[in-house]
Amino acid sequence: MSRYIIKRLLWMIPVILGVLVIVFTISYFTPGDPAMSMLGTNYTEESYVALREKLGLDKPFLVQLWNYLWGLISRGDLGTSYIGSVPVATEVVHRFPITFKLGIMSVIVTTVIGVPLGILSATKQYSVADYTVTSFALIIAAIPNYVFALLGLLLFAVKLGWLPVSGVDSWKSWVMPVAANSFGFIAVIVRMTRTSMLEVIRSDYIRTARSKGLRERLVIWKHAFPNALIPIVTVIGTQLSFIMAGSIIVETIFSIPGMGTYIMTGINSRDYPIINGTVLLLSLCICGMNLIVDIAYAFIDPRIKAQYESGRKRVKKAKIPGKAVP
Amino acid sequence: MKSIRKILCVLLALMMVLALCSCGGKSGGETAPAPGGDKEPAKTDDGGKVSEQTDDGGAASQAADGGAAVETAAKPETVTIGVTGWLGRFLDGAEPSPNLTACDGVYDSLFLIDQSTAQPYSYILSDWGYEDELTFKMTLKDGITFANGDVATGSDLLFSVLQHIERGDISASSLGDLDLDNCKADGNVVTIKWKDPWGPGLTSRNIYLFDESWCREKGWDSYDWYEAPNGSGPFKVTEYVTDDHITLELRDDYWNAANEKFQVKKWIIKYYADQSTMYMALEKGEIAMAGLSSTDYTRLVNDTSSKLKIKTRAMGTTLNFFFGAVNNPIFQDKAVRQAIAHGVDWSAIGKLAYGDLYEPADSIVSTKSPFYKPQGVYEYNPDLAKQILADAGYKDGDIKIHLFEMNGAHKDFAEAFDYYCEAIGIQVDLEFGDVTTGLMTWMQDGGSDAGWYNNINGVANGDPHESLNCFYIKGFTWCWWYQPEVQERFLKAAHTTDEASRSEQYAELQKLAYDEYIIVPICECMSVIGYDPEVFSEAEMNAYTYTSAYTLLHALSW
Amino acid sequence: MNLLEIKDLSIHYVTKEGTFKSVNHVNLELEEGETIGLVGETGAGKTTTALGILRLLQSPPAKIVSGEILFKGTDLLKVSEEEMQKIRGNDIAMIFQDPMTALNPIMRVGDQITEVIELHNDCTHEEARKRMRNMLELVGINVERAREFPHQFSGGMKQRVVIAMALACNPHLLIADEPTTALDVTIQAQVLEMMNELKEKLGTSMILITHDLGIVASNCDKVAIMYAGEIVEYGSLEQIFHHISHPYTEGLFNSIPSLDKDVDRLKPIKGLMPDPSALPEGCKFNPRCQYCTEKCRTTEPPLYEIQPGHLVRCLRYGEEGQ
Repeated sequence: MSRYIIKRLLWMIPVILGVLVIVFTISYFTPGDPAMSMLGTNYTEESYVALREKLGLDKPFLVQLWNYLWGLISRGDLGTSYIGSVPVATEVVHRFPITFKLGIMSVIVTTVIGVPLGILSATKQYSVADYTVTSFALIIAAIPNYVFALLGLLLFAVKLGWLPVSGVDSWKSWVMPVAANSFGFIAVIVRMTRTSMLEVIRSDYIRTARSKGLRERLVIWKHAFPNALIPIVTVIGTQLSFIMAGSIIVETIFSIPGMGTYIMTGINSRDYPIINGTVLLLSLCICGMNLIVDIAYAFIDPRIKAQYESGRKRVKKAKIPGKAVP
Repeated sequence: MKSIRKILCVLLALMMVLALCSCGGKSGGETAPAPGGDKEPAKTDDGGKVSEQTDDGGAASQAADGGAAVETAAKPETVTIGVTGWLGRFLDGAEPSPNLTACDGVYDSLFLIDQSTAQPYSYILSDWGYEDELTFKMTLKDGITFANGDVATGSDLLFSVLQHIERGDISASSLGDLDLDNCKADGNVVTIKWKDPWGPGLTSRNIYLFDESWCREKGWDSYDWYEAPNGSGPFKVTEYVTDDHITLELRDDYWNAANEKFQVKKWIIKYYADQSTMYMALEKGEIAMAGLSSTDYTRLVNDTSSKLKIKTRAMGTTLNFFFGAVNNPIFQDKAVRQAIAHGVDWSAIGKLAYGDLYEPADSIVSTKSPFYKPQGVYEYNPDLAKQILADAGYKDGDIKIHLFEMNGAHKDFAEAFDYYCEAIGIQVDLEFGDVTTGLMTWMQDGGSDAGWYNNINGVANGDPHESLNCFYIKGFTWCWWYQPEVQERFLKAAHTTDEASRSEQYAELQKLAYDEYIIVPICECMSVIGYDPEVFSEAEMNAYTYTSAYTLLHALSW
Repeated sequence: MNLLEIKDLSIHYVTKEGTFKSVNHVNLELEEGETIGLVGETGAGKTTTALGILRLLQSPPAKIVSGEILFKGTDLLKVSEEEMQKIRGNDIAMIFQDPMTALNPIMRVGDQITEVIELHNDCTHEEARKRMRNMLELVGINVERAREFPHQFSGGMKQRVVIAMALACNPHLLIADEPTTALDVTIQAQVLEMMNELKEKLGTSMILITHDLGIVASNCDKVAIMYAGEIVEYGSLEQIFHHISHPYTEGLFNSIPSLDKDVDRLKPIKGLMPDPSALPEGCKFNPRCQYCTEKCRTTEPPLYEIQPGHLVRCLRYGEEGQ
């Protein structure tokens, strides 16, 4: 098993390098000139040329690419933001934990609410509870997260005054951003759990478990649920990746100084170092999440663990595409 | 029966979701009307909420050593205000733009402008004046200390002026042609020398007092410009969290502490990524002051239950429309320019920009400037426009214009413009993009044939060089002000130190712009601030100028 | 006292498409230590009956319409669910048809057996594990394989595990629903032999559901033939095999190809098992019966005792038919 993990970790390196090169190339060839952007209305021919030289933008493409990669590998230097000369690495180190925290909490909330609701829905299929939960989940999934965010702000922050409008100081200020982030995914998890559980509950081994005299609760939680986990874990993993991708809108609305707002800043001002640095971090995150999910599979299902250890190509992989988050 | 149950469950779920949306109520107000709308701009009879900035009455007139008291509310020890856009750094003229309120707390400014007399005054100079047309002398007070303990000398003062030129920032152009070799500092006395007489003097922009040795040591790229600037002002930065907030706290060793009584010991400048979130924070009381968008303004004016007050102020510039006379040869024909000037309802565009705050302008120089001279308004008269075109021999569809505009408000202007032009038989081809693409496009010939301009940086002394846009935008070579004639006349005016003559020359330039080049003035650029009247008094807000928050942050004999 | 007495059991499946009468007025008796074979084609209602005994039927579609199931004197249909859980796996155990899917794929084999032991016995975990290992030995599985997962076992081995799990708590009654149908013939013999040994050793009674008369012959004491949810013939092994009475039973035996004779074609019973939602009037076998008369089409035949303990549901054996 550890060989498998090491192999996967090693595979991450070329993937991330590839992503870096691609993003660097794309931002290099995208129209829009950072030097122009920085000078803005101060533009003169001379200052423009001088600035390009200062930023190293006049060097050929491959030289720039090499400088960037070498700086990254040797010093962990992600470059310096064009606007304001702030080292990207410093900013990222400040911001990433915040977005990460938001992401993890959202995932936890989604799981803790979504999975039991899905199980409830599955075990009480066709009952009032089932229909209500499924309908609720569908309606919530149809409402975009920013609509939730704004409505929530209006109701809880302004009208009722229970929660603060923005920032990350107290635990209260996390409630709404986490809620806005999680709601859409709760629907996905509920449905996924429900479907998976329904399938598993009809299995023969569940009948065997019941015939052994197990209480229904144990049958559901000890026998059915672990078998239903694989698709659920897949969805949770995908969700985590998406949330790590910045939760841009939620962070903007709640003024959370995280990766999302940072990416927006970079894109709006064609700030290549920011764009490259944040994409690097994102790819690391997504690769990492994928790896964690794959390892989790091994712990859930020993058949998959056996496949990993024997080194054969995975035959069964229940990966379901996740819901895109704007 | 089963299907009825299903329907009931869906309804139940729907109700649970709608419970989240139970926040209707009194926040009425709508966005600015479409072109041709007939909403009247708001007057001041709106429940006494809105206070226009008046030139007399209510403003503190301050002499050089501090002066008459201004009515103020009893303040809490910590005040939080909100900003959007950038949190910025403490280096003005460099991107990202600085947070001026914060800068005014941390640095001392060389000069401030008295709103009522338009005369400069200073807290850090004991004496200043012109020796002759080309020479200006200033004497720095003794005992001014920076946060790091250094004592300010004349060379720091000189450095503070010249570093704008060294860095090549925006302020550099407003300083004129300095004779750098002959500008010197001798003890606390600084001599500034120009090669040509310079009308605006040193007061167009805030010049902050910098510590030369500290700046040299740190360099302009240091992170200290964000989180630990070294100023002589009463506050120091105790916290700087990117994209979150700046905390300013009173310094123990402030040099002028004896003459000032500070009620507010701590200012927190909180950043909001989203305008509407900031508005909610203001409504809720989390912040005591924030800038409002025009829709927030309308909402607040109509919200009778809110205790917040509004201050509107003109920023000292106007929104105007200009033709690229060089760019599209069709604009060489004055008849075309005239026709467009009459064929477009500019008030509609003004309302798109400022909603209820729309104030029509009749010169491209703001009424707030001492050099303002009213020129006139281009009446909206599409029939006249068509007539002019017909007389000049144009038929429908002969004239084609290409406009590039940036996404956002300007996009709306362009679309309105298109609407009116089509009505008089002029074809407009629109293209949109974001700011960065826009800058590049406008730098090229043929990028855009015309455009709108509203510079939101006010000019402290009302000098119209920004309104006349004469040397501010160097890159847009196709604009009217690049015409040699215009450059020549402007520079001549700027180099005149006799106020009366200068005033006359600026008046002529305004006339030239209006009559000949047909730069259409649309409206005053307005800014709106919402504030908590329990924290800030109306008088205080009136004294708070667009270009400096000095009076807000200092407590001069209050 | 009989270990198990099923009296007049009827089970219907009620769905939107109609009511399926799967089990109709079934009576059955089983003594301690006996094995009864429940024989019939697919769809006869055998599995439903078995699941009904353990009350493992899905209650919305399935409905136990009438009857009593007396297990050691207690009517299982009137007992609470909690009581039933104490009985399942403990007093009555069941093994199912397909061993490939009968075990939880992500749980170790040993743990699955230990689970049922701990559930019904007040013993420590160690003791339970010891008993589990005993069971594995009993069924012929190497004890070291207790830590393995089901996918590492072959079909036959899995069925042994299932049997070990079922017998772990030494139940009085074992219901085996076609335990060897999914296995190949050689393994079938092994598993059946093992089951018999255990049965003897532990004194377990068994209901062996099968469609294979050969298995019945070598394992059962009594036989019940089921058709369309009814018991159509019932008796001891000898009585059924040597005094074939019901036309259906006759058809079943006739359809077995003979090893001695030289036969060109098989002799199936013509027709198909009736749709449980549209059972025929009168005798349910009448559409396929070669002896069918007019009376058969209208009258439902009762069970006639033609020998002591040998019951047949056919009008030919009634007073009228004689």
